[in-house]
Amino acid sequence: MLVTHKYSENTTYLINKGVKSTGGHRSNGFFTPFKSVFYFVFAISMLFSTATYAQNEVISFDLKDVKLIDVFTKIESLTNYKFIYKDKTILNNSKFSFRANNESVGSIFNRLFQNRKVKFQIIGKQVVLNPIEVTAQNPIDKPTETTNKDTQKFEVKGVVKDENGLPVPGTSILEKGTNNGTVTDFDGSFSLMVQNPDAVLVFSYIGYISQEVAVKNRNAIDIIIKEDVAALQEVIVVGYGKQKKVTLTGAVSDIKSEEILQTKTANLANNLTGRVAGLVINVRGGEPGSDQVDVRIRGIGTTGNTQPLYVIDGVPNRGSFERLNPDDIESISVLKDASAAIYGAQAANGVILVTTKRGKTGKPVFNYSTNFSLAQPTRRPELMNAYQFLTWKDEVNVRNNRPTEFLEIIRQYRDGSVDKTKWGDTDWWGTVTEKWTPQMQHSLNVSGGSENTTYYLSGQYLNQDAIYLGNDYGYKQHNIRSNIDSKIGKNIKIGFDLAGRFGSNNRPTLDTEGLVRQVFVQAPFDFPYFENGLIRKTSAGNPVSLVNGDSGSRQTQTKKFDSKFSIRMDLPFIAKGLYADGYTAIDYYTTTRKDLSKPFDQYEFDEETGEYINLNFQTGTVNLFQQFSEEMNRLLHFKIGYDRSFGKHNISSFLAYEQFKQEGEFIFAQRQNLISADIPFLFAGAEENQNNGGRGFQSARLNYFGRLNYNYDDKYLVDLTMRYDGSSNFAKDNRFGFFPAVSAAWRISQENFFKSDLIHELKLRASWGLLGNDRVNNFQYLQIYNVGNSYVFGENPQRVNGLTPGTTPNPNITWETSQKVNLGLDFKLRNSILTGSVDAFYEKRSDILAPRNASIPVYAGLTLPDENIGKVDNRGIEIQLNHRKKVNDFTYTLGGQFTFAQSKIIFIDEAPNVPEWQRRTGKPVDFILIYQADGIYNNQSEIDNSAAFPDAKPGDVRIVDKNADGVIDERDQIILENSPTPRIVYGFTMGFEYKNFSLNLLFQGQAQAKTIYRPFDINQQSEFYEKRWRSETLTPNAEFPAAFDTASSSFREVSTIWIRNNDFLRLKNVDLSYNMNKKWLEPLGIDSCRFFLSAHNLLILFDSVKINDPESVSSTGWFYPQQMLLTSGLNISF
Amino acid sequence: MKNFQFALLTLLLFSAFSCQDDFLELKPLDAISEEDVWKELNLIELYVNDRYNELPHGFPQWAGGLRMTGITDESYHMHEARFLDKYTQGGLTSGSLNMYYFNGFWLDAYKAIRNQNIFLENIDKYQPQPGEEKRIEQLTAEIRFLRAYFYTELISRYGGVPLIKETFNVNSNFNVPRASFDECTEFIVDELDAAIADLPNRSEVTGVSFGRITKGAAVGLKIRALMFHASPLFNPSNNNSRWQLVAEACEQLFGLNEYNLSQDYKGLFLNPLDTEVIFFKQFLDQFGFELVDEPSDFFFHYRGGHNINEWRFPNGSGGWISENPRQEFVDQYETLSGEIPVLGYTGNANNLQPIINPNATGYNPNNPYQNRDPRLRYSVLYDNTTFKNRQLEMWKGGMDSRDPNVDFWWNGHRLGYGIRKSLDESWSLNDGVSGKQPWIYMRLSEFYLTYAEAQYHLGNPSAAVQYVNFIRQRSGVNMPPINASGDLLKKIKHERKIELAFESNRWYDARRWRDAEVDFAKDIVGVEITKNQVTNQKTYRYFYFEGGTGKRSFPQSHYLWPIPIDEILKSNLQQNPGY
Repeated sequence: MLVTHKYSENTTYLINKGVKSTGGHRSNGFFTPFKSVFYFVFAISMLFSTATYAQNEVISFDLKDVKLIDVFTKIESLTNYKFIYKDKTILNNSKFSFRANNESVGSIFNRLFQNRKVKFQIIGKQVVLNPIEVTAQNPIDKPTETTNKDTQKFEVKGVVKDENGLPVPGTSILEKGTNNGTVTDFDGSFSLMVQNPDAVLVFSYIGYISQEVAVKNRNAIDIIIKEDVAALQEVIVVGYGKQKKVTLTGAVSDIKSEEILQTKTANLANNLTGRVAGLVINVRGGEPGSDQVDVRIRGIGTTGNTQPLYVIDGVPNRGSFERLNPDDIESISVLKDASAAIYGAQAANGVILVTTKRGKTGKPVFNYSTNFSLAQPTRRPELMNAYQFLTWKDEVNVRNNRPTEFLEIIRQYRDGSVDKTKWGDTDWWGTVTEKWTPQMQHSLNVSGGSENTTYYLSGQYLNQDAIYLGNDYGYKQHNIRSNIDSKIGKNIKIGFDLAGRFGSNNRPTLDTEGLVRQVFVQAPFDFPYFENGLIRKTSAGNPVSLVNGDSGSRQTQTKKFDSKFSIRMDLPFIAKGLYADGYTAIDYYTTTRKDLSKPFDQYEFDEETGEYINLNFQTGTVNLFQQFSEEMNRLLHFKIGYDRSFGKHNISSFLAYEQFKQEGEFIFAQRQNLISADIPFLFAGAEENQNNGGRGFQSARLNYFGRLNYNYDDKYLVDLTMRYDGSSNFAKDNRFGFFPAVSAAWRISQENFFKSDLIHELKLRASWGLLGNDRVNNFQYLQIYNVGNSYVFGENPQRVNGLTPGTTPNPNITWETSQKVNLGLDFKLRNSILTGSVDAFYEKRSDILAPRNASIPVYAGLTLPDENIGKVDNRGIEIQLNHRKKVNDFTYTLGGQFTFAQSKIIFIDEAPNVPEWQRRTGKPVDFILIYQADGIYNNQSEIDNSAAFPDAKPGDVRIVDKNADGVIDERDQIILENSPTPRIVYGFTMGFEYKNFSLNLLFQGQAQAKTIYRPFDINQQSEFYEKRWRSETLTPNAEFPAAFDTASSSFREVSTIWIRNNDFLRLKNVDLSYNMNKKWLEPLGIDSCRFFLSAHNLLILFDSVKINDPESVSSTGWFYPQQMLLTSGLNISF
Repeated sequence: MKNFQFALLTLLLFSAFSCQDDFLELKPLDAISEEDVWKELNLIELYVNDRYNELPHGFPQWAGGLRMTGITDESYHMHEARFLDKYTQGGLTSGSLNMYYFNGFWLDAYKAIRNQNIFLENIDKYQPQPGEEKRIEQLTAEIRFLRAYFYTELISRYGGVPLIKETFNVNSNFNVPRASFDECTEFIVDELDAAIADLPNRSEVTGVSFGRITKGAAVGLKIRALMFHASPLFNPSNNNSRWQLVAEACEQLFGLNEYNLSQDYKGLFLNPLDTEVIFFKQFLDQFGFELVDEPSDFFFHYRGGHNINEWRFPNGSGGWISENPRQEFVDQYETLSGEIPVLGYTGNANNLQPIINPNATGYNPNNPYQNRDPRLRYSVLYDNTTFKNRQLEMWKGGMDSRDPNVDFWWNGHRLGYGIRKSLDESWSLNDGVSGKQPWIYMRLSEFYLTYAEAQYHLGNPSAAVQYVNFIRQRSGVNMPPINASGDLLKKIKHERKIELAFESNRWYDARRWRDAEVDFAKDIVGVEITKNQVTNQKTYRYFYFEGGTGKRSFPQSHYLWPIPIDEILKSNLQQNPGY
């Protein structure tokens, strides 16, 4: 198997070609040759990487005893393809036979070169062949020309550092009175060509005092910029605005671009794991393009929907953030307490604010980054081998009073005499998946601007391969973004943002769970292939055909276009500090899905005739299912604000109106029996049994809200927000809700009596707020009837339409409300040797929407709607600490965050007669109801002397008779104290910098979570075999029951024997990078260049799940495993 | 000027949104509102159509519905044993985790009943146009039939159940006690009597209407309800007069003069137009397999339709032969002389000796399927019978056996037999279409046998014998007649067992007769056939499938199913005894 994915090969090839063909371009003063070449190449490669080449052409031929070159000639004669190769060694002269029967060209190439150490690339109609040993050429040929300097100008270089001697990257430097400027890079250094030696440079950085420095003929200017004590440092994005971190009154965490980019995965949520206090992130699987990430703010506080609200550039409901380009992110803020109340009815689960980068005045700065990763499951299923499997089967036979079937074969396996042509020993997981899968990412952005107009433009390309055997499966993504701001008048600024995303996910026809299950249903004594390579039919259906591309694919393409037009006008002519602000966001999403299933070849061998019989007739026909959905979201926001200081009184306030409307529809169509799998379009399908359908959906929200923020002398701080929200999800009388919040803080360190050399900053915070959660199915207040296919009538039978009532209406349905209280403390010691915050929170949810299915009997026949009945409390603490120090050339940072959140159900619909130990009240929201196990029965007398299931035998799980009625039944099940959602999550970061090297480590851990792991189908994890009960004497303290099947009570009745603890600590991320020396880069016109090696999910330091990744919650084990990534890459800015 | 521009831009922003009077007043775009449905007769008819669709049938993908043969002494269900063992081994409890199969019916039935009640409460809202009254009456009668159907199925499983005649809403008082069995029966019979008046005759239901509920079906259902009511399980005081009502209802059915016994015992199960068929559900032979998402399902299954052919075909013909008739059930098929050939088994569990009936002339233990009631041939797949133009090879190593050297051996039988009744032999795995044969709920011979049973209890043995012999002696079966001597009831029961084998009746009958505690507690006997490759001589080894005796049991509690535990916890319903 080729490890490199074919698309990455294409890109490599084109880059080489591109450099050659454009190497002679002249620079134009603005672009260095390198820049222009690079830009061109990048654009081309972005373009071409999407192009697919028709390798579907189907040909047939049969060549016997030929050389490779003869096969080439044959294929060239049958198609338009031409083989191109320099290295003749690939034409090894051995002879072979090759046959293709209506096979696609792509497939033929795959087969032809599979074991030949030949790498092929298809460029148009050319098949380019290279020996595989040859190391890939450096993708970037170094240009031979030196950069073209303008001798008329004067160059100034230098380094910008802060008072602690740390470099300040991102400081903007502007030649006063011009548009000429630049930004400092990673190590704080800059270089700028100025017009004349007397120019004045303006250094500015947010939170620092701007400085003007005259050049005075100096070529080198190192400056130290000082923290702006008045304006006070860091600014944090909060709901509908920004606030200085020091005067913030709410519990808001934020994470900036730099730290986000330390993790190199394809899913942005991974980049936050373990880094933000209060954010509980669990990665539940590793499937490319699917976001199996649980993101919870302060754990789970409701039995209803637990998703936080994502707000991207001020616009809510743009989907979640996982698929955004990490390079585009300026910062992410997490609103954890009443500070989220400004988002009213959608804010109860907390709010995540994502802010993308915008341009800064200055010359264009290009940033290019690329990385290439190899991924491997952190853990893979290790199932029983053939010997263990057959032993297990016969043990089950014996336990079920059935005759043994395999004693002789088992003996033969043991002594090695088994007929290996009939009895195999297959590692099915290893057969259907690849050991390593590649993924790669390119990202290019450019930002800059004049005094009046700034821009940020970016593009990203991502390609992730799936672990399945076939090459076609995986995820590809393109992201583009353009954020433009312009000052069009003295008081008017406008902005226009456009972001596009194209994601293409190609999966096997069966879903992931079903596919992984296929590994569990295979008998290990079956063979995947015959000796001649034909795929063998196995007793459970050979899964090789499901993952190698033969059975078809399910392709989902999502296209998203987010646009935002904004305008802001200051109104000093009415009142100083008054402004008006408005924006409209129009987002358009489409999803297309195309499922093509094809008959596939699986063979059986007929011993009598000696022929291989293709059983493809059993695998159906060529069928096509297509689905198209589109959605348009329109948001309108209008705001009038007033920000002003009167002496020591500072006021910031606004009133706003927002409306949101979502409209969409979806259609699907399907046809069967297509004339060819190569024409995957509906017209090619049979008329008979065609099917189609479609429907629409809409929802709307209408909101009025405002904020009043007042502070006195930056010392006493109060923030008051309120929101009046209306949602179409509810009936007219219950549609609107009011959500106020107040928070206050006291900066003790600003008081005159507070004199400390050590403590520079000390702030106490408190907040209270009312928030809502309206995420339920809409129109539950109406009785509706659904249309569908129904009964077959007629002497000539025909299916007719039918109508069925939907959910029983609940006219009273309304919001879920949350009351949040938070107490916090922020502090900062001298020189940032320790900064941190501590928060304690308490949340009371009520009116939680849930169906009353526990108390309404089934005989009522209702399809239950949600009702506002539940109550949940959630409380906990969070701590975040950071330390930073520099010793000579060596800088290090240490950080840690810890979150404890415990939820408890206060009221939930429960059946009145439920026993005490099954009450969900007082237990976690995502509860586990299970029998309590008490070891394994060792002998019959233990069974006779206890309550047991009627079919209990020695070797079965002993169940505790909770209600002591002498019978084990459902009333004996208990609810556990813990659930799969951890109560404790924590993380540490360590950063080291020495000269040009830097190393960053992230450890992530959790505690107090439990999950059921009960993987079983026909085969299962060998751990259960090795630790099974065998007899009283052999295994008196066995961990797991005797060999079982799905009917055994030990397996069927889920008991705590299957529970495992999810506590773990893992090395989540390691990132080692090297910044190239400026000296070497400058002649190339490159500002900085950084190489890095990083690893994600590298090590699990401790855990007790063992058979799966400790973050998995799949009881069956049928899931796409979490991935470990080894990544290398580079970052260039120029 | 700038201010003006700003104002203009703001205005433009707003105008990007069409100003609606009530921005939040939206309608669902994927369904029809309640008001609209009850205003239009065509929509009302669509509503009724979907109620038909709620009828369970005997060919579901997995066991459940009416696919009952695996929990009786008729057959062993190889692929569902893990769900059914709780019941067949005497360990059924009320817990939902164990009740995947048994619980479902309670839920489905009451959901259907609510939907029927919705119709009955709303139909009066419709203002009929002249000439539409009859159609409305007929639709109403259909709904009342369907509701009575679900109640009959409920009481036959659980005994008296809560009689829900109105719809609840979320704020209702849900406390409804279980009605007595008598009250339920009375309700069902009254409802059916009302429906019968408005339902069309079989001969009036033709063309596109074919399949709609007829008078005959309603009378048949009434017979069933009354039969349960008269049977020992539900008639503990043995009040024989209840059988009078059964007999009268049967006469009402016969008096319709719409149905005749079929002359094609084998073919009638494929043909809903057969004169014997009273009530049925049709299917379409939809094309193609599909890979499915559902983790609970295997590799692929059929699109729509049902898949009973693949489930029951022998492995040599690409099927799974899931439900294996048990040896002792096969033994019940008489010899052509009218005698049950084998009376039981003795000896070593792995090599049982059949106790051969000395009166069974024509029975050859070395060729046991010869000279037997032809219904054996029509109902059971056994060794050497002709199926799809070939001789089945059930013997060890034969192409239909479970021998590791045989293709698809893992799908092979375990007991030596498969079910043939209602298989569509023309179906082929290679065609890739689903099965289209109908599920037949009621056919005339059932009611002949019910009538015979009633007449026996009413002291008219000659009438009883007459109706049993109609069945035995129809062309294509031609078995010797029975007479009234000896244990006539036993003969009637035996005839019912054979005639209605594998049609789901057995589970109801053995319970209502209180025979299940003996019959269903018998251990499973299977046969292994060995063929001498030189002489072609076959030998038959009989064995206890589960290794010995006492593996099966049927406690008294199992006569009724438990009410699901969740339901008991939520309500004041009284649980059935023993759970």
